[in-house]
Amino acid sequence: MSSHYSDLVTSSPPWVGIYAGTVNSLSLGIVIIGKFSEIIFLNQWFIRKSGIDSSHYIGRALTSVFPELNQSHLSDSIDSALRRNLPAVLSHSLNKAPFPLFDNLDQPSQRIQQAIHITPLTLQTGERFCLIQVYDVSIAVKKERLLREQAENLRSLAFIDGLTGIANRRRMDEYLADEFKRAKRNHSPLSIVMLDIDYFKQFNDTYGHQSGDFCLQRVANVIKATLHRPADLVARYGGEEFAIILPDTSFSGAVILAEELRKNIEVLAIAHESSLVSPHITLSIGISKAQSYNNISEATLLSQADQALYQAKTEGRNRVRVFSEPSA
Amino acid sequence: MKKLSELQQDALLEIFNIGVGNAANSMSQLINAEIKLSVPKLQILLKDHANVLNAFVHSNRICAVSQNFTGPLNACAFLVFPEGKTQEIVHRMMGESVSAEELNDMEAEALSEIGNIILNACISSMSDTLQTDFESTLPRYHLGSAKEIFPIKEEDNQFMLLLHIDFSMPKQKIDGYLVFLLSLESFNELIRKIDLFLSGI
Repeated sequence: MSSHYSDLVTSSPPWVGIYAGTVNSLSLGIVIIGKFSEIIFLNQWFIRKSGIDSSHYIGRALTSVFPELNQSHLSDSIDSALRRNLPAVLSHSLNKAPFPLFDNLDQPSQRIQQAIHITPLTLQTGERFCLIQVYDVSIAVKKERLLREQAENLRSLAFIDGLTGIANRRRMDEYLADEFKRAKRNHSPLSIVMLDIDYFKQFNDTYGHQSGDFCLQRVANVIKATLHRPADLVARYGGEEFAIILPDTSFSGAVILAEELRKNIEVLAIAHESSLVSPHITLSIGISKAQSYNNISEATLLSQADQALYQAKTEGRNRVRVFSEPSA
Repeated sequence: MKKLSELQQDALLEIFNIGVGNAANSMSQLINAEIKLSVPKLQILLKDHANVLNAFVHSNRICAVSQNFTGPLNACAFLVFPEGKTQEIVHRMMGESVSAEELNDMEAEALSEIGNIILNACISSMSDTLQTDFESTLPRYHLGSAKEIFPIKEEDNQFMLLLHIDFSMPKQKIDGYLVFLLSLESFNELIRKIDLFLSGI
């Protein structure tokens, strides 16, 4: 069968010779399959990258030369081109590297990443062949992965507070909006805890900003360690203010957690000689809770936690206060 | 407006359901997860194609993969999804979670393949049932308004075969559309072939 085509090549110069030369010089793989699914032609690129012995493949079934292609999407697509005259594309995303092709044949762990086009070729005689074009997309794939990683990195950086490594205000706003919607839909409780380091400005003035930063980091770590559930989120809300979103948490649950936090910070015993309430760093804590979701927004919930925090401060600091509706 | 008999409609629906069923099998195999496809509904439109389609997909921009089929009858075939939905499909199939708006080339390519599998399967089913052979172009990917993607003039007398397609993957259901644009002659030829098939049963 193959001689038939080489006859054709020599019989009508110069164009056929030019075609053959072109196909062999292409920087992509060309495979031509005959109607019995046998290999009729492989171009130089394909032979080079596959490392198969060129005397052995002509006339053999593609799946016997590459057994791993048996019953693959690739061989189905070739069948469909041969039998039904339908073309196909095999994207890299869904197929990765169907042919065992390598830039470096000594390193068979790194296949050339591929995108493949399969086109039926029907001659005037009615005889049908299948043309397979194999593109090397390795570079594009590598670039894409790099971009993806960078995008992911940037995204996570944009949601993290640089000093403490916990969520930033922006992340908290998004999270609160999502959780608020979910709680409203499920009629489940949602609590917010707002906390503030007592006399932090004086701490900074006394010990310097570096110590202040270190103090913020330690407080953030204690809060993180005190939270038990993955859904609980702590964020740096402002300078020395932190906020904690507690989905599915009742008022009493939030109060217990807040009390625990307050004690854990006390136990930390970071010296604070200019504090008016304690020789150590302490926290004032305010809590709010969504009871019914009829006429309340997440902004209201936040401001109620803030009001409770303010109350804790005015009542002497180093304490937990819960928001209660002012009686009219 | 051309109307199909109930029998003709059923035959067409059956052809497409066989097609998308086969496509679902290929795709399930490709990604190792069960994908189900079905075509519950079919409509034929002669006017306002783009507007109708917009109303269906509830989105100003749509994503489409198209192939032109030629043979005893010619058709431009499209697989259509609302913009945004395609990302869900592709990400699930690619097993990736990160979505970055600018990195869409690979997705477009993957979606072209998905469209290619589904459209080829439908055409194969049609050529099996109606005993016809088709040629086809490679799939093309489009993103834009329905008006841009279906540049149809009223006076062209183009028929639009609109099929609702249910795309269901583990934990996800997505509505899409299969659209076939046919000239009057091609549409008549399609009906003739269907009648021929029906008289043969």
